[in-house]
Amino acid sequence: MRSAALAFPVAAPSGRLLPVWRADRICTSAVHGGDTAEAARPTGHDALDAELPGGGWPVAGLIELLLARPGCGELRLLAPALAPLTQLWVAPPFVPYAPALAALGLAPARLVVATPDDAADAGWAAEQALRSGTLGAVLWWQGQTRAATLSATLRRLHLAAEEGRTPLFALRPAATRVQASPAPLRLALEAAGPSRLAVEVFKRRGPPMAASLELRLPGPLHRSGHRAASHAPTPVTREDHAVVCPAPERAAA
Amino acid sequence: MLWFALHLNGLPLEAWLATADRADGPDARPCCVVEARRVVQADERAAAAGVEPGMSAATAASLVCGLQVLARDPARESAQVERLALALSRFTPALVRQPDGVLLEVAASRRLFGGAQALWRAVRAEARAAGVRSLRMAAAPTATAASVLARVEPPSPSPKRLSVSQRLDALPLPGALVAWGHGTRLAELLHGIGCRVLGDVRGLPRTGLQRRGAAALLDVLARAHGEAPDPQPWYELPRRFELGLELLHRADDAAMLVFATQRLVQPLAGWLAQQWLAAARLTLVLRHETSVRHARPDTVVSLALGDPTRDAAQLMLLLRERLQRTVLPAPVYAIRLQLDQAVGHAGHEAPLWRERGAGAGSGEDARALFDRLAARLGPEHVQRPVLVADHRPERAMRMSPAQQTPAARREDLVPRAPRPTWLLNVPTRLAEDRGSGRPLYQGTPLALASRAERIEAGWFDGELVSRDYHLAQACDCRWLWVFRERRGAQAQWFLHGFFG
Repeated sequence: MRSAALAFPVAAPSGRLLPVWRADRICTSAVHGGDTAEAARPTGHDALDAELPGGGWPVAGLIELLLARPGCGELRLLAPALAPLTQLWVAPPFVPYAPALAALGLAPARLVVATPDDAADAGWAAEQALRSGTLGAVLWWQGQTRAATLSATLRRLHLAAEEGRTPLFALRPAATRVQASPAPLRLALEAAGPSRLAVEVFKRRGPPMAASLELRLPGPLHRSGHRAASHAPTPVTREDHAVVCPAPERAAA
Repeated sequence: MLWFALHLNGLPLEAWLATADRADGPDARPCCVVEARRVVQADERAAAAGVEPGMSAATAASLVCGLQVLARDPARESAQVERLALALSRFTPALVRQPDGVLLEVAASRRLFGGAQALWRAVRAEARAAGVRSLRMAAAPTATAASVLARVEPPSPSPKRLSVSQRLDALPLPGALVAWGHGTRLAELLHGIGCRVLGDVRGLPRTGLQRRGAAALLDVLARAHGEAPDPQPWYELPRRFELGLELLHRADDAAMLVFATQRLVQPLAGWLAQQWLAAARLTLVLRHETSVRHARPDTVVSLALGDPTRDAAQLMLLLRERLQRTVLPAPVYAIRLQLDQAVGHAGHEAPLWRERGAGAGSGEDARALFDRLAARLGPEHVQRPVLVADHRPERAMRMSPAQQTPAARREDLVPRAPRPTWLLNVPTRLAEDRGSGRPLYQGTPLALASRAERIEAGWFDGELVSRDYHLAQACDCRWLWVFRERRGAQAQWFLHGFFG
């Protein structure tokens, strides 16, 4: 099932061959307009790429990342893909600490942080940035957006992201998983151990995932020469990056 | 030489209505302009009800219920022509301002604006955007000819291919004489000898006309036909840009001022374009109604641009965002726009390929976006981080306005020791577990995962920091950055960040 199947062509009324996505396979090409432009950008994690339609983060549209709480490794997950892009972060929960981001490869010069006073302005700022199409990516934290306007906000942001051909990473609380969303790609992230992140792609253009994915992220000690006393991290190789496990397991502290 | 003449045939009324957006006002009433108690001009609603120029003001008021009677105001008319001249100065430096129109010498501008036809359309669109609704335009090789053609030539549905000389000869004589300011005596004389159009006058013997007091007319005709020099008094741009506008109705809401502001931004854009400048700082002053008892200071809306521009649409977008956030303490009756700082600007280089987000966010589009965000959210809410050489974690970074050009990457400022991606503004105090001496987070003791990293700095500026930083792991597997304060009577634990 994991072998990403090529969408097989069928003849359109015009006689042109159109790729058709069959729902039991992972979609491998851009669905919109059949354009041949790059449809996805590698995430930097091979195991995750294999699970995502197109083999990476979509280059346009809304991508939802649901976090139990901020700080579980979301930035380390996104850093490889975001590193070459100009980004706008809208309403982050804390101060993004630029020295640490620089160590992750996110240059401070490519980062602009907008901290509006209220959630309506945050939605407006994200939408403007997406529509302008001049940025590489927009990150938006849902924060205190009112539940009544949330669904409309998400839909508007998704349309703006598609129109501006810009990816929008929406970081939302895990409790919103049960709510409907216009995002074609939704992921739930949870810390699953020291420097391990359980990723469940629970909505995608493809079949449901059988088991959640456990990615090994660079730990806080990754760059430095320090070694932790309690658990020495094993050297991370590329093959070792991911382990597929039957169920997300919560490691007790 | 190629002259475009613009004649504002609705000037008395438009000078009054320039500040009011007539289309959307539910309170838009029929109105007319009167001078010496005679109607000079009436708008469409009043004209439909039978109000005509020359009618007495009392008759007009009796014809239309709720007619708004405005006194003709030469100062407003002059200001309207001035705004138009400023806005049009982006097309050519050679302008002539007339009491009811503008002349442009555009021979040298044709190539830049894509030919005479395209320039003609651009000038017309600019005049429309400047609030000129009824406009007559003409083009001719001399200023005098263009000017008289715009004023007198009857509009023809199918323009015939005639030379300017033929078109001048076909002009009706009374209208041309009025446009050139000749007396009625000459008109009667020429009418009496059978002259109906200008061409008839040209056929008469010159000496006889000169003796009968038509020397000035012959002179003007020679200038119109290009047979005599036709010097014009050029319009000189003001050295500083400062333009005011009185509103027709007082504005209670800042959003109502947007339309009037547009009337000032367009002249500004023309003024800037002519001098190859771009606006860097602007001030919009809103004047409030004052009475003897309540003297209210003006509301000042200032705008600083990260990406200096002379694009009217961009300036308007930013001013609109600022105005919509402005709360007015009292109704506004006049506004004034002044340019505080301008920078030389020869235009943007166009990219060979359109890059998408791959650059360092320094593209003009990205800077325009940050300007727009800063205009609505406030510059203090749209920032970019800058690394600072300081050992204290909270000082190793500061936020600077996003509109500034980002600093070059400094590899030596990237820390080698672990640093959290999320920093708390104020460190959170953590209780200490009595048994183990470890900090408690959400009720459970944290597992310290690294040796202490001691940071001691700030003795030189009185903000001494003396801390031992540790990596710690919470029970939900998140990495935290905690420190133990080494100063004070007893050591205390604090949480300072998360590894996101």
